[in-house]
Amino acid sequence: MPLRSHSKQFFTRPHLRLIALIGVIVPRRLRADWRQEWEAELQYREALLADWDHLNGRTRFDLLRRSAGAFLDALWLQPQRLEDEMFQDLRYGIRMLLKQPGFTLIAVFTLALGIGASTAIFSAVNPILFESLPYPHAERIQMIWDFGSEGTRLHVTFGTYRELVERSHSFDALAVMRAWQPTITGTAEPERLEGQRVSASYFQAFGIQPALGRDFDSSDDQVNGPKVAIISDRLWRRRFGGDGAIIGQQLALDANLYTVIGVMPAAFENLLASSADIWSPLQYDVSLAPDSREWGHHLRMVGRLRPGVTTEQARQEIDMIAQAPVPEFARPPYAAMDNGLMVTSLQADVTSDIRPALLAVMGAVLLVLAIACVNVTNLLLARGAQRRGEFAIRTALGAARARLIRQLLIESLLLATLGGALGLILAQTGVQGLVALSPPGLPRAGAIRLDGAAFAFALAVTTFIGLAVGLIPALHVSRRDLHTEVKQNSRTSIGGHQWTRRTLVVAEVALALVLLVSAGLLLRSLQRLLAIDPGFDTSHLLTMQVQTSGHGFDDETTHRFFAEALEAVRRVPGVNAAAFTSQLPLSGDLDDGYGVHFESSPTGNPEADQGAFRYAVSPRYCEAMGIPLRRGRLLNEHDTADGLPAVLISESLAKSKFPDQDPIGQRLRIGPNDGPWQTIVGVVGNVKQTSLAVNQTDAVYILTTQWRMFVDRALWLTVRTQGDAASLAPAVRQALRSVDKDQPIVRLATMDERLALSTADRRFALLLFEAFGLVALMLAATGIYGVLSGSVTERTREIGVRLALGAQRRDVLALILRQGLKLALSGVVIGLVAAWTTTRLLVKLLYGVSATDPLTFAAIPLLLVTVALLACWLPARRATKIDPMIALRCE
Amino acid sequence: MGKGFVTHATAVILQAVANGYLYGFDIIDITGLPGGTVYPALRRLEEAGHLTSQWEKPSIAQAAPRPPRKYYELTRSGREALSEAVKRYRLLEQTQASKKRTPKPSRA
Repeated sequence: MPLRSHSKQFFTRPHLRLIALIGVIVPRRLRADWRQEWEAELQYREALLADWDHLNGRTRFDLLRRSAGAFLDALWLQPQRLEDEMFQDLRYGIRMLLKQPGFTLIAVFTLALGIGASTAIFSAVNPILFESLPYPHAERIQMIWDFGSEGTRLHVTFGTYRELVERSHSFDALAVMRAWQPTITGTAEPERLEGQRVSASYFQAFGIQPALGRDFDSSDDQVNGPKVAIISDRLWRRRFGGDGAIIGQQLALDANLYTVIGVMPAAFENLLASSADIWSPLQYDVSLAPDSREWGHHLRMVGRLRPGVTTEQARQEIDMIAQAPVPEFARPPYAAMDNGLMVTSLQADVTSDIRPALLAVMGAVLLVLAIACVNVTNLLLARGAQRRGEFAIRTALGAARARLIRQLLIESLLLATLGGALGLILAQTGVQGLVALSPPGLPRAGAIRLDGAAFAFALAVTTFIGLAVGLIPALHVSRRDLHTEVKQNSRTSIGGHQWTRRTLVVAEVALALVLLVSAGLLLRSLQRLLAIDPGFDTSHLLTMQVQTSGHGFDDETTHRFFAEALEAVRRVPGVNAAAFTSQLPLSGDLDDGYGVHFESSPTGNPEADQGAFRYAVSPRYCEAMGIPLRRGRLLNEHDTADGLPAVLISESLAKSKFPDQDPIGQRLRIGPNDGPWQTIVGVVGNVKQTSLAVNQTDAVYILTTQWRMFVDRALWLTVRTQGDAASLAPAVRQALRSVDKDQPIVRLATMDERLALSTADRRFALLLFEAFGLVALMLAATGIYGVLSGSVTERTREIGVRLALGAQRRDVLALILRQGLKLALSGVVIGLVAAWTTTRLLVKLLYGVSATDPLTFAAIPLLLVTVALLACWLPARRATKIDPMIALRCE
Repeated sequence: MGKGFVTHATAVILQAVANGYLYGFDIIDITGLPGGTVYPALRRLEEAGHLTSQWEKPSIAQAAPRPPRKYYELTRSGREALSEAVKRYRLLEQTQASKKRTPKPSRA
């Protein structure tokens, strides 16, 4: 077709120029025909017009107008371009992947591992760290704490709460709460419920209304107010069958009748007490009698900021209130708010403990993802090397470099998509595993699932990985020298290729080292922690909480009940010793701290409070627990209710208050300011109280009968058993029931179980790190294996030459092993430097071990190098098996 | 397009081709529709199998030096589609050419 015969006049005819211009966007394979069609029509018309002498300005403009219509036509052809070529590439890619099923499976599985693990971890971390809490304007909800001695956090008193309610203007709603465990009796089984006693504005602070019925109001929260309760959706469905007539029904709780006035919505997550199913107003006395329970530090306070008020502003206002006491709210010295109050957002408060562990775990999983990517990139590079010939021919036939790159990127995206799909399945299992293994205190554990955010994360990660993993191999492929590739098939121009692969493997080893070092540090931390002496004998110790509930118990009968119960338990065969205590060390909820005034204060200000935990115990408590006596004597039956109030103090308290004198005989006062003085009769060993890691051991022990301020209605029973502690549980329960069958027994566990629980979150993090470390190790090992294997294949001829020239098999082995060792060592060195800088991020999780612990930093590299050598073994052996004759012959 | 109904513009174009206006620009002239409508419609019709396209004989094109033009013809399914369309857009009936006015494809 004579297309160019009029090229001389081409450019003076604008309509043809326009067609040429528009033709640029037409898909290449359609372009020639398309241009011909339009140009033919235009030239035909032009010729006609010229024949009839009609070719003037107007008709020329008409021609131009017509050629402009070509633009829409060209646009219409666009979908053809992408569809055809992309589908071609896609089909081709699928064929290529199916041709090498081994490679495809390994690559897909590796990617699935990385994507699945990171998606699972993300879905666990998201509800806690990133998502906002499930309340309206959740950022306004704040927790308010008092400051104890040494800046530790302390529960607030009701008096403090009342003062803030009256004097502070920063909050829309302020509420206090404490735990409540009523026993419900009635038609169904008697059951001990988990619940809370709360202020009327509790649910307003969260901004959630009951789904049925009504919320509490201030008239419900009076001292002799009505007995009303709101129940959770969970309890409503479980025990009352979701019956709509629940409102107004009466429940028998602790032998009192409560009216149900509301049911909370199913979606309500009570973050501060996630297992609470029932709420009732506190009904504390606002007249704030001194030395009443209204001044005990046992409440938690939550508040919702007014719109527009920031946390900082609220904190400052509260500080001003704290420093300016008014006569209407007279404060006892131990609730004087001397150090102000702590105001933190609810989210920060709930997540602060677990945040370091979660961030660390996220870092670890991202490392695993990176290693998986590097591994697959290496695999693709190896494959690219095999396909050199194919790409060379395609280039020779006219394929543009961009086209080839696009082809390879489509293949890697395909791999990533398959990996992502499999990874989602793995992630589902992973999420279930995480929820099952998660430490009990994990906030919002119920919200951990594969939701929209997790899918979006998986999609983003998959796309990113698909592109990242394919990019380097794609760029490599298109950088080849065409001529050389078509002619030769081996040795030359490997250089750049192998160098990239080796660098990637070194990176892999370095990342794996960082991960393994972190795991090693966590392991040593845990070992150190578990090696700590808790201060008492934790073996063969059965513990449980016994509560006296119901009308029939006044002070007298409570004491009698516990005394009889103790007797009954002591008579059980297999029981060596038994005792009661108001607080149990390492039980997780020690909050009974009091200021202790010493009569003579040789150190410091007589007014200064030393904070210590109070233990109201039965006689022989220390014997039963195995707490050693240091000086003086232990409490025993001779310390009667009317006798001299006697206390024991812990060694740490004795050392700090009486460094040079004998504390025996000195007097102190724990509790209200005008209470009786108590005499120190003995000093006992330190006991770890809140957790093994925390060194807060100040304690005062007093007999339950001598503690005058109030009577502890719930006590922990500790039983030292002859044999296995858990097996004696039924017998002990039977003994307790024989004294009074209605009193609930809860939180039964052996001390060893409690110990395990107290380290649960560390062990959780360690478990994940170990799992990831193992995966990283395997991936790094296969990476090294892959590179060396490829290297041996490439160097077959060279090795053949060496062997032919007289080298021993041994030398060949050493050659390959040396190569592998070099890779591993480079990776280790880089990894050590990286670990040195990054492990300081783990500091919050470590205990007794520095972030640069030399033992770990020495042992892990050794482990890695050993594994690397093992990985090198097979390729090295293969190299020694090379037959020089065959090697030299194959070109 | 397939089993769906044919739009009015497409029906007009089909009718134009049936009436013997086989070249793109001729269809533009006779129907009054712009090139940006006619050409995509012609391509759609061709994809659907209602039209076939051919280049005119090279000898004719080389005579007055210009590239060969492309012309379109109705297929059997095209005729069926047209009769369907005429039932829907009844004004088209009046534009149908009588037999003797049908020009030949190879006219220059």
